Amino acid sequence: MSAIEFNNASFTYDGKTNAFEDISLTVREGEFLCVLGGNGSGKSTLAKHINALLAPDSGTVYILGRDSADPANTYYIRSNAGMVFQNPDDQIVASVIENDVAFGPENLGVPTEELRERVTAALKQVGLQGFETRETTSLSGGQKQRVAVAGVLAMEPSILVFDEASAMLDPRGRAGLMRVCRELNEAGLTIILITHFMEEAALADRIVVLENGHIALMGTPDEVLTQFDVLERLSLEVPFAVSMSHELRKRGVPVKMHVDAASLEDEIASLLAGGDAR
Amino acid sequence: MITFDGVSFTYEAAQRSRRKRRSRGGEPQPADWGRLPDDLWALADLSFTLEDGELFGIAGHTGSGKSTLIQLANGLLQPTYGTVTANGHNLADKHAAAEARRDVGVVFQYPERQLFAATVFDDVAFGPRNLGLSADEVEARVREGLAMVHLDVDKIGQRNPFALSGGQQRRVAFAGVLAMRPSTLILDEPAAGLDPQARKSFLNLVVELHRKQGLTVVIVSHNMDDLAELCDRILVLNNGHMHALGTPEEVFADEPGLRAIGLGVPQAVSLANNLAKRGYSLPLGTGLPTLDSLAHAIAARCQHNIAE
Repeated sequence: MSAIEFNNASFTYDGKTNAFEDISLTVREGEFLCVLGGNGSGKSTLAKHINALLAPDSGTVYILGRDSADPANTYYIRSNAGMVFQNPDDQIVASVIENDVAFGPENLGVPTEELRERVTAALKQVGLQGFETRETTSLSGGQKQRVAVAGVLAMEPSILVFDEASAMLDPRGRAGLMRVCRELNEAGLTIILITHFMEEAALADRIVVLENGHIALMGTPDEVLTQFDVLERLSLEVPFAVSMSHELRKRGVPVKMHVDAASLEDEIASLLAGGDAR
Repeated sequence: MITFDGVSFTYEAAQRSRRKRRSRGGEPQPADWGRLPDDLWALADLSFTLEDGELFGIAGHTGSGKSTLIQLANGLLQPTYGTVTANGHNLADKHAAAEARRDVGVVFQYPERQLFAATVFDDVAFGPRNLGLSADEVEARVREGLAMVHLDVDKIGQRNPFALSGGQQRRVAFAGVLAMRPSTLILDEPAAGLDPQARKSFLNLVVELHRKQGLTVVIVSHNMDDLAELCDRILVLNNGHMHALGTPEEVFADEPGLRAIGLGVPQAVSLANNLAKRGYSLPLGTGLPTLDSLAHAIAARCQHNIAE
């Protein structure tokens, strides 16, 4: 069974223009998928379909094998597909961290003893063990986002959607959130990461690029992020190594298109060494 | 011109009350570093001058003292020790501080979150109205402020600011600051949270205001590539202390030092440094290596190698 399955799905907010159109996409369980696209490309609309906040107007969306359009499945899907949004301050509901993390599972009716275990385990997973009784206001933005992630994890979902969750964080907070993201993926969770940051996209198993509600590109980070012209056309940020590879090739230097700065550096060094050897 | 002279600041209440006692009469006390643990100083012994008309960058981690510095620069906070002067006036003086708050426009992080009015016009007009200007003058200021951010008051003035896109909301919030006609603008992470396109156009707008209107601009950012490209000089803060101050070229010459405090250098600089470390020093000329200059130098060297 795949974690997420979009079959020719279309959705419109206003009945006139489609937020996305005829999307077919399968995400396997345990996959780390990144979704890229400019503003208005349909990224967030797509994300909201994953936990049945929205259902397609035509076509079908199956989450963990269940049809998201069937109201009988809504509860199951919402408790198994968690979302983390952009603004940390919008997602904190309690003044003490353990209360905040317990909010979700408590609403699922999890008994008190288990609740405590889940909160402890979730905070450990996001690297905030021992923070149970601290006040949420004493946290940095990055820590708040990790508390938000813990609040979702305490509901024991199998899919986690990050909707530009790192956009408001500083580099340190972003790195911390990405570390958590990868560890959760290694622990078996399916991760959907919506982002503008290419260094985050490079960590994914697969990238989908949306353009006006259509899939413009899909493939591994190496396949997608090296498409200099497409990234430029969609006003996406081009990774430095890709820009540099592009500039060098334009000047007749036969380098491959690199996503990773270290591998580009190695190839440049070997090209420069080639001449010295002669 | 804003000058920081030996400025230290702590948020500790005890220190603040000591400062109050001091300002009531007694002799100024020298900084007593022994009494307060080092990490409680938001800023420690900071001296620098922001020159008129420059585009000045401030880099540093969260918690390095950047926000404190901004609030000291326009008189929102008073230093625990040292002085801040704006155009020769000590901001410890209430009137000078009030003048600085008008003259130094601060665009805080996510300024769109401070939008509050029902229409774009009213939001931008809030500041000018508080100056007690006439209705005509307020309208002129609103028109001017919005025009400076490339928005047309006739098209957008009566719209609800919350119905605009994120990039437009930020421009409206920015226009509200510009409508006060500041001579200095301080922007705290101006491009944070914007998508790449909105980010590029917002930064271009800031540079344009700097060049065309002659505004003194301070940009606080985590993005070293942006700072290197835009700024005349950069101040690097670390735990409230000045780590470095100079042109981008001077500041980014010390990659190990910046890495040690958890910051980096522009990506082209990093690549050039790494290649140099491996024994491939490229003739990059003067100035910081850029994507273009580095690509050019590498290509030239490769062609030279092939020709041989």
